[in-house]
Amino acid sequence: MKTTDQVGLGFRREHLKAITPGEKVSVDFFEVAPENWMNIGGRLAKNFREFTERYRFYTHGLSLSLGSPAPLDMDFVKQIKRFLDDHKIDVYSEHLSACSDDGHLYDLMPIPFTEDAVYWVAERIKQVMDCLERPFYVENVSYYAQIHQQMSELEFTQAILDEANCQLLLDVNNVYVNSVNHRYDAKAFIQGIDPDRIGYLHIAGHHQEAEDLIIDTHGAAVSDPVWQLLHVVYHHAGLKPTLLERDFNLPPLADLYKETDIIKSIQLSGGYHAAA
Amino acid sequence: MLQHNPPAYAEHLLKLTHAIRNPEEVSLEIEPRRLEVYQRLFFNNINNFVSSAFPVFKQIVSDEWWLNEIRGFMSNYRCQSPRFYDIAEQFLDYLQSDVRPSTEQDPPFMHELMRYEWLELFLELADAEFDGGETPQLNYGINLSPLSLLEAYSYPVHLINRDNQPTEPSLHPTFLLVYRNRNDKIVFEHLNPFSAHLFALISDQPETALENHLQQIAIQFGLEPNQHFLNQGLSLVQGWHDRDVLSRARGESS
Repeated sequence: MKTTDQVGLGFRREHLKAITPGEKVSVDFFEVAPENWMNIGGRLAKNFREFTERYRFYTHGLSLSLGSPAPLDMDFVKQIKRFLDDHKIDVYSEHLSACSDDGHLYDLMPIPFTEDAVYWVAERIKQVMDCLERPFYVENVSYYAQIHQQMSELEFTQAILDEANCQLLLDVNNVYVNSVNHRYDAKAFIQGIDPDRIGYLHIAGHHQEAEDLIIDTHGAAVSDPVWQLLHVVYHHAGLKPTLLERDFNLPPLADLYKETDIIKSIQLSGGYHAAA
Repeated sequence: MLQHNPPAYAEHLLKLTHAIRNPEEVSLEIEPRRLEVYQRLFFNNINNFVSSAFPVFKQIVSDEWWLNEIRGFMSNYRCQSPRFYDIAEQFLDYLQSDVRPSTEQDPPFMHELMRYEWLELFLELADAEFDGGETPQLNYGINLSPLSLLEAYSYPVHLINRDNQPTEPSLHPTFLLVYRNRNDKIVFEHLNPFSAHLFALISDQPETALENHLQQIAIQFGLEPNQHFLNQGLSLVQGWHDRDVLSRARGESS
């Protein structure tokens, strides 16, 4: 059976015990938040290195705050670069969001969809790319309230990608969450993005709190409508590396592999052509 | 296009951060049900990180006290570290800062117990490695491992729990030596005043010969710095070496 070499799993501390470093795993790469593994020593750091020496890793940042009006924390960007160099990691991504004002809040807020935000954020993305000298993706985030908008989420996202000349990490679950929370057509959103800008995909589970309110928890299995959207993305943009995120209510590894195997089978089947 | 002034959109984002930090204030901008999602998610996330760092202390204070302090931390303090591991340390900094509103319900041993609990997390993750150490000798300086700390507490923090809450400081301070050994285990060791004093001297002046430290202490404790005394001191430091408290570099600051 041919492989796609393009299926990943979000890596958690719990996996340090669930996986013996060196054992054959059912995914092609893992992904960590650098904020949870950088600038540390001791047992955790040693265990982590046993994994990065044996498996391919991507990184997905949490605290860069691309949408913040405060100056970009370049010391932090340089620390991330050292971390990536140190573990020989090529890929880094961050959220199109803000997680701070004049202090960190450790969770993600939407950026107002305005023209000045497009230029401001794109400039910061360019600064990051210049410093890191490696592939960098920005991710569409789920959001629960619209704080201000002069344009649609789609227009805003596409404008930033074009202005910064960077690639999108398209989080398929987030598209679905937002389409329900803000009443738009998820399929049209995906098909509205320039396929050449889509470089990498995330998929995850969520929690439906009300008929018109979904919370992006990463705490459940991927839902059917989100699997359907993955077909749509592959049809629109072609096969891309795709990672399963699971951060809470962690099931046994075998259950996570069942879900990453679904990603693999969709990639191999070519069935996504029919879905769109 | 390089912009140096904060962009105009910032005003709208700052309304959201203000509402997340200060949920008791009414916001007219955002649908309450959706704003509450943000307020709840952000609060729970920060509360989880702080709670997991202080399991003993959290058992001692009321839920009301605890939740009120987390709320105060979010509204009055500005965290500067991008690392989630540093949230607990920043919470400690907040509790000792001027921006924290005063309260009369703090346990008297609060700061000491919380620091004691935080130290374990700190040493577990500290970005340094044990280097094997160097056999101590009387006529050389002694270097301590960067993963070892001497702590002096006015309360016996290691004995405090829900059922044992001192109301007054002890007559004598509690000295604890805390270190991470070669197996990455965090060890807490009780020190007597003599050992604590020697450790503090070594820490302050690593380049000074151990013999000189011991002579100084002998004078302070009214003892005769004879060979027997010096050998006892050496064997104490040798014990620290055996337990991974010393670092290799000798006679110079690391």
